[in-house]
Amino acid sequence: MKFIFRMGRSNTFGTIIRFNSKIKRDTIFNLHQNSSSAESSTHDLSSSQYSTINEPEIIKFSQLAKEWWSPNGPVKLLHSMNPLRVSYIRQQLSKYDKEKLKKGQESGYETTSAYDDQIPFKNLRILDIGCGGGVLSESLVRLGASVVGADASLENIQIAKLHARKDPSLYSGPGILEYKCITAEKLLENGESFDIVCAMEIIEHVNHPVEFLKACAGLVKPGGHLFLSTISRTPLSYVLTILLAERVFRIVPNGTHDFNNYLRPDELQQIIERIPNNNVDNSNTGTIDNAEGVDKKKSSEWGQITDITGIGVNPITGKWFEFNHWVPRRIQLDVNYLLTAKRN
Amino acid sequence: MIDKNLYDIAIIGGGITGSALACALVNSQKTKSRRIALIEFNNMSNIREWKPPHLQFSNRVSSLTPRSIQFFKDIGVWENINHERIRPYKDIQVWDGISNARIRFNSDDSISINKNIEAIAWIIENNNIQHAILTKLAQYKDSNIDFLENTTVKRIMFDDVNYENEQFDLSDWPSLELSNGKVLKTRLLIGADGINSVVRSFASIESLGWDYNARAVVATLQVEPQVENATAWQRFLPTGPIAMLPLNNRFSSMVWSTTPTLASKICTLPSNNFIHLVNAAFRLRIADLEYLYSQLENCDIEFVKEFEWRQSIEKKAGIGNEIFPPLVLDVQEKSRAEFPLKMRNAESYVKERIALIGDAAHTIHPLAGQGLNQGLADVQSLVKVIEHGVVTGQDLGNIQLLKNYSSDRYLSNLMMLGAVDKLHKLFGNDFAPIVFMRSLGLQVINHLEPVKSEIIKYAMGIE
Repeated sequence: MKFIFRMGRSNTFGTIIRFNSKIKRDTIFNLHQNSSSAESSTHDLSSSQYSTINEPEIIKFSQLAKEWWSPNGPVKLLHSMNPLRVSYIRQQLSKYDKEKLKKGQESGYETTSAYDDQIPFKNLRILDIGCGGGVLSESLVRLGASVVGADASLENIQIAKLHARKDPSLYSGPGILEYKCITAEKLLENGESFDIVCAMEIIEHVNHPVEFLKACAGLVKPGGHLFLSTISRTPLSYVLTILLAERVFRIVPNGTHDFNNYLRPDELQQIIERIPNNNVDNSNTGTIDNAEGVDKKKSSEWGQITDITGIGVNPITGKWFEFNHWVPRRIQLDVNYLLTAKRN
Repeated sequence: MIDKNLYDIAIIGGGITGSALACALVNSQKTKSRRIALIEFNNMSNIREWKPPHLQFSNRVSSLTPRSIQFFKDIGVWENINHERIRPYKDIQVWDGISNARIRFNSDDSISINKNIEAIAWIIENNNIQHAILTKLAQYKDSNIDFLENTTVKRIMFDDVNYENEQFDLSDWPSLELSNGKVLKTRLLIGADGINSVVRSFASIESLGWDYNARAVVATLQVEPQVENATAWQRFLPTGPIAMLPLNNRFSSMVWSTTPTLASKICTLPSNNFIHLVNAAFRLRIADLEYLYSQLENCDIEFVKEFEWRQSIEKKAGIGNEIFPPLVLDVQEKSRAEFPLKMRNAESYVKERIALIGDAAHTIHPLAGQGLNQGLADVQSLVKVIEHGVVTGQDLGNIQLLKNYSSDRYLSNLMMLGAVDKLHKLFGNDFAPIVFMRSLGLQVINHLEPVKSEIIKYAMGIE
């Protein structure tokens, strides 16, 4: 059961990818693998072939990283959207924390406020699938999470690693940052699991969204959360994200999006809620759930959608916002939306 | 693991805005664990141990709006203010030197908005504010803030020095070379270093604006004892406005903006002549005042006689029966000083890893007493933006984040600068039709309560 990323998130800056030929990619890969051997061979200056090849590659990669991280570069919309995504994740999780807190109080447990507003994601293991240059991953680490940033594109992972060197606080704990060039499916095969899986602005770029979502869902620990953000398939979204953003105003490179790959919220909800709960471990925890009154039928399904929120961008200020509640729901969810699903 | 010379935020300039920013950041639950450096080239011990002599006031005073005071209350600075040395004013009287057209603002005009506001603004010595902030900062000794006094920033640069065995690449973090030999690196550099900001020139941000062909003379005045000295007075003379602001029932502070030649003469005038020149400037007709200007170097003339004689004539003629500020009895020794007047606005307040606040970003004519209040509004806005950056896990130096600060403050500062500049230009004119129109305007506005209420709300910093 193999599916392929159509370049994964790297599509968002298609022009840059083309700049890297296969050969270059290989040399970079070598550079990465040989980093330990390069250290040992520094004494041998006569065989300086390695260092002379590597040096320009590093410069090129820094250039690439600059493009990815440039606030006015081809992925600027992703940068401006990021604070809202992080706020959304915080807000959805805190809802859950409050419930837990309430339960704890009712059952008489002492709920010491170990919660720190500055590192709310402490002790959470989060997967950022399709991490790209690491925009979201870095934010989550700063908030205390142990993050695995995964991307199918090696270039993206290299860029993300290079950029992470610019901030010592990513290494000062409690957050941990790790980048892997790997697919969601492979992670599942490896038996990995996470408290939270984020697949942000990625479903619209994969070839088999159902399979991809199954893999993502399988990576979520029982009781954990899956966060998604994507674009709905509506006439309005076509006009805004393809006609205007790509062709007229060229805010994002042409060909970034494929309208046929967009999923409407109801479609996404159906896909997720039909995913079977085939995790073996869960059958054990299922008995505990039953003790808490969760019926068996529910635990045979993977989980439920707990929130869908429409978001938009102000074309003048460039700021992203959540729609006010008085905006008709149909319009709210017409273009970009965020979605939370909770595993049973 | 992290280098001890790495900071999240470095603030250059420990004046009121810079130290207030540091204070607000360590006070905030969201930003308190960021590493902050506050760098000031002066030795602040004088202000830290500020013990002002009774009935003597510094000539450097500010007018704080209710909004600024609320901010100081929020960050725990207000409780450290010496409350015996501040004076609220509930009234503003502004009148035209040529036509005597008047407008009067009262804090009651704004009561419909907020009943808790007791005054339009408070007059307070700058040292009093600075002392209160330093007292508050001293309570945070054990936190993540380093207050580097007596320290000059010799150079700001970007360097390629690799940190921690090349694990990190901090080449786009500004480096500060300090006079004590240390080199700091900072994620976010904040320029609170005044009109000639080194941070602004490092960022090669242009400062746009002009110098007024005018200088301001300040002085601490002893006035006729009042039952309640709680009015701010301002008369627009063709050479510039003269203002008297209450300090307590026996003292007031003066700001007189005028031509550079007059300013230096006013500063050096014998004090008995000076006080009557001030009285004349608030009371006499422009022609009389101009005669006195011409006699400034005449040592034989006694200004007191000139003033009393001319005022008696005006009273007989029925002019000058208006309400005037209290008569000046004396001027505090060595309290007279002059400084140039400028209007400046930086072309931008932010760059990648850099933000400008207060006078480093903008400088305003003092006629509306808005300069410090604008600076404090910058501080409040920047703190909010940094807090937002923390809760969303952003790199605090990133330009996307900092732009929120400039989009919040730039236009609003520019509007205030523009409004005050236009007022200055409008009243610095003695062309008859303009005098007529502006006088008419003043009188009309004076009777339009809703308009007045909007103006006073704007001046008080109420949204």
